[in-house]
Amino acid sequence: MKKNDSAKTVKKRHSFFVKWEFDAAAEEFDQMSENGWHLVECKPFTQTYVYDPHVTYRYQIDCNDRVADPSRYLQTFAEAGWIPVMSNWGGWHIFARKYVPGQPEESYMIYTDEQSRKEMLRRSRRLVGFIAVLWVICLLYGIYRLITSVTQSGKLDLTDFWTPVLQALNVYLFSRWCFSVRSLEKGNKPRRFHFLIFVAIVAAVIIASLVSILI
Amino acid sequence: MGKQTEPLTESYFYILLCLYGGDNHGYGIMQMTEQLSGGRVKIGSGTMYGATGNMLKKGWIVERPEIGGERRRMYRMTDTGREVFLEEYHRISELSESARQVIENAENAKN
Repeated sequence: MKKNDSAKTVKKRHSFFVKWEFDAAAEEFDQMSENGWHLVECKPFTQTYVYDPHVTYRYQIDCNDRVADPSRYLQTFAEAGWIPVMSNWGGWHIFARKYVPGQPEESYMIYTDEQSRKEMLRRSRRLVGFIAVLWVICLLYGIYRLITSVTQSGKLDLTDFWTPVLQALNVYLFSRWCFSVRSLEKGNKPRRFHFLIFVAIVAAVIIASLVSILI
Repeated sequence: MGKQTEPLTESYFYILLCLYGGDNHGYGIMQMTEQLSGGRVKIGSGTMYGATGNMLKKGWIVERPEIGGERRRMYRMTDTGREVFLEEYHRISELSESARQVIENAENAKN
C-alpha cells in the first residue's frame, strides 16, 4: 500500500466528497480497487491510486475528529488487518484491508452495531450543529443590520444586502451537513451534495455583490 | 453495584464475556465473540475501539501492563466490570426464564 511499492502506474482522480459522504467515498475506493487501482492518498479534490491487479482492498472510513488515544486507535485497527491509508484528514481516517474472496462483505465493516455507528455520527454532527447555530446568529444580525440600514437611510446599502446572502449560504451548507448526518443516523442515504454547484452559486453571489457595489 | 442502568448492547456484553475468563487483546475478543456466537455477532474495529474506550472511562476494564514486550494491548476486567457483567447476565437469565415459563404454559394449554 506504500506509494512506491508497486507503483508501475499511478492515477489521479478528482472526486469531491463532503465530510458526511464517507460511505459514498468508501464505495468509490472499493470500486476502483476492484479494477486494480488502490487508493494511496486522498486530498480534498484529488485521490491518488496505484495499479496492482493481483490484490483487492476493501475501504472503510471512520469519521472521528478527536481520537483520544491515537496509538490504541491505530493498534485496534491494525490487529484486525486494517492498514491506515490516510489519517486525520478533516476528521476522516481511511483504512484499507485486503479482500479475501468468499469472505462476507459485513466482515469488512468497522462499525458492526447500530449504537457505535450512531455514536460516531453523533460526534461528527455535534460540532457542525454548533457552527450552523453560529451562522444562524450571524444571519439574524445581518438581516437586522440590513433592515436598520434601509429604515434609517431610506436606501439599500449593497454591502448590508450581500452579507446576509452569503451568511444564508453558510447556514444552508452547515444545516445541510447536519441534516445529512442526521439522516445517516436514521439509516437513510442522504442525497449527494453537488459541491461544484454550491461553489458556483457562492462565486456568483460574490461576483454579483462586488459588481453591484463597484457600479 | 456496577451503576449500569441500561441493558448492555451485544457488543458490550460479548467484550465483557470474553474478558471474564481472563485478559485478552482487541483482536482476540473479536475472534472469540464470533466463535461464541456462532458467527452471528461480529465486532468491527471501530466498534471495538469505541466500546473499549467507553469501558476504560467507566472503569469496567483496564489496560494490563505489558509483559515481556507484548505487541498487543491487553485488557483486563475490573471488579466493577465484573459486577456490571453479572448484573446483565442475571437480567438476561431472568428474561429467559420468564419467557420459558410463559412459552411452556402456552404450549401445555394448547395440548
